[in-house]
Amino acid sequence: MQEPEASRRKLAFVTPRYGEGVVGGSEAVAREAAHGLAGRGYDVEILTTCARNHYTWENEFEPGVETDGAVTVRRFPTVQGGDLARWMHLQSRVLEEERPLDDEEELAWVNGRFRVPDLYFHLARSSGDYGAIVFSPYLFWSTLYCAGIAPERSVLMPCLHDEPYASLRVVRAALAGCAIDWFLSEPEHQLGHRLAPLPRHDVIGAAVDVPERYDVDGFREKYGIERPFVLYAGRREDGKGWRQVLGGFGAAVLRHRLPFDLVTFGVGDPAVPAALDSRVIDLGYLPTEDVPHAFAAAEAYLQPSANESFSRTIMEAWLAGTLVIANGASEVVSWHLERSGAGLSYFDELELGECLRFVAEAPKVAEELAGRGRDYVLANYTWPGVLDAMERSLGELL
Amino acid sequence: MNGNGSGGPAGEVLVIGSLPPPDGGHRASLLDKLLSLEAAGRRTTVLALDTLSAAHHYLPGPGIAAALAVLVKARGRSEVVIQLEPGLPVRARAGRLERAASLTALAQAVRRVSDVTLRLDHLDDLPGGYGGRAAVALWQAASTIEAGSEEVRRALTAVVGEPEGKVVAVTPRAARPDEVDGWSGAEGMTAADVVTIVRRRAAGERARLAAAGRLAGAAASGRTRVPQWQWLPTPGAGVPDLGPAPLSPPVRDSGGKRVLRPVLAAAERHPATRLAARAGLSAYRRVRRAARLLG
Repeated sequence: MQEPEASRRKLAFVTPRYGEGVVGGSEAVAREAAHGLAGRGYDVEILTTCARNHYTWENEFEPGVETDGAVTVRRFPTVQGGDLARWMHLQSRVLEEERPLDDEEELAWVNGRFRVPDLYFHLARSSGDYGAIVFSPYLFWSTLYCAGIAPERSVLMPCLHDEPYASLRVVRAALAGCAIDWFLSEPEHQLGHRLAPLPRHDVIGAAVDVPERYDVDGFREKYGIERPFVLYAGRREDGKGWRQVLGGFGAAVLRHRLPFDLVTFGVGDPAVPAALDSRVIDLGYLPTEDVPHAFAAAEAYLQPSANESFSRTIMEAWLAGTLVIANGASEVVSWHLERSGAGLSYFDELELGECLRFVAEAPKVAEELAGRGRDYVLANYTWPGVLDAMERSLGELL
Repeated sequence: MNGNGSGGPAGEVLVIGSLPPPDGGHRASLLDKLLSLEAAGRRTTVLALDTLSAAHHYLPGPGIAAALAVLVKARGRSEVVIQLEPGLPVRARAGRLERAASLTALAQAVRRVSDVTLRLDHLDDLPGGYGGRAAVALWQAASTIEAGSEEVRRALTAVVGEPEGKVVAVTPRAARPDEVDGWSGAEGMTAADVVTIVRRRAAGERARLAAAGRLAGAAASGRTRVPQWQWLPTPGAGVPDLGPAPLSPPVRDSGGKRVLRPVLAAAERHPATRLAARAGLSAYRRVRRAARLLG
């Protein structure tokens, strides 16, 4: 890569949440990309809020400037919307899609949950200090309000899902109104084209770190897990398909007498029904260093979310040599499964049950299939390649 | 394939017997036979006993009526394949006389056909047994007898006697991996192979559950949900080993209940028997509770 001038080597990643205890794919990609580019000599800042919880958006971190390795983190406090009832009403209309919001209502919806005025003012003051400002993901105030401040140097990494929010005009305008759009996968890129006339854009992909080692026995001992298990990692919420996993797993255990437990870690209340309590193990928020071991110890990884723009967790599972069983409703995940040949897709609980039964009864074949996944990730989704793509894409701005 | 009335085009094989659905047993065996004939370039017409199975024509009924219909349909044919099954020609509840009459009628029906293949998939498929004078007469009317297994072949050979090689055991078609219950034959499969089988099995299960009215939410959401997981054991119920044991659905309505309920209800209506009814109900409940405690 050609060395950019020193004055233009300053980058900002704007993400609504950052730091310990934050779980989310787009947040993880932003964090790792920021550190990766900092490692390549860029002066990288994270501009974020003081919130950790994406339900409450309460200020849990201290506002101000801190450092995280080679990255500077600037935190700005959130201000809660004043009329939650109106916001909820607008939210239900967005999801129903029957009575579309007008322009003013769309802005009221974006502005009504939380806002970060000090972030806005910082960018209004200092956007010229940055060679490029990367906003991610698409759905929040920090992107939809702030990406328009300096559109000529704004890069939108939307992490789009094919969901009602993505069709809002305010989202389409953001997609169309930045200097560059970054997509993490080809299906997401195609979705972007369906939504808006795109500016210059690149499919930069995303990556996961390759662990140096996996300690399955140590993980099992540390958490007292003896029986074979299937794994779900991430946010335990309806939007991510958590309830579908619970229902499907429970039905499969009953119908096929499966030997598995369901181990889960992440954030959100798992709300395990009493009937499943003896078969579901919630590890809560798992220390980062234990995450790879959990993936390696699992017989299969379950990805029930239909809303994925990349799906980091399936990459982590494949790296660990674990078969992926995923909701076929996610275009992105289906695309990965098809290209890798390392996972099974399902469309309802009966198919999920059959997939689980396959893992129980043909573990060697499952392991062979999963092995292809590791090759797929190493060939396509490691950080050096993704950072190269980001640098190439940023070349015009810097 | 071509269906017509009696007689039929030269070279066409008349295949008589029930085909799937439902699958399995003699039906699956006859389907294999049909497919092998077609694979060999033969044209076929199917005449089935079960009026819900896949067929060109149906027999008017079981027993002698079936045998008489075969007589009509086989006229002018040079090749007939008949799969013996309950009702063809012997009704499941036929007495000795009716059984003999049915077997004899079928033997007469195919007497003028030069190439007759009789098939018996399982010994139980011929009510009343495979021996006896009338049955032997039928076996002797056949050019070839195809047995569903080596066990059936040995039994029929002992009855039919000669000539050597007339009774053959058919080799069952190797089951496709998706037809085998479980995943023991999954070696070498790709993910796409596995998913194909997953879809096929789930579709079959979905159809069965839908037919039994056991699916929830399918109409509203377009997705199938099986509401059975609520029946899993609650914590503390004890899940031995890996937990697959006490996962059976709740007891719905036992046979005892079905019998006792109307009897007790009738007894409850008359003052003279009311006390006895209540005592009986109480005793029944105690026995049931004790049975549950004992597992």
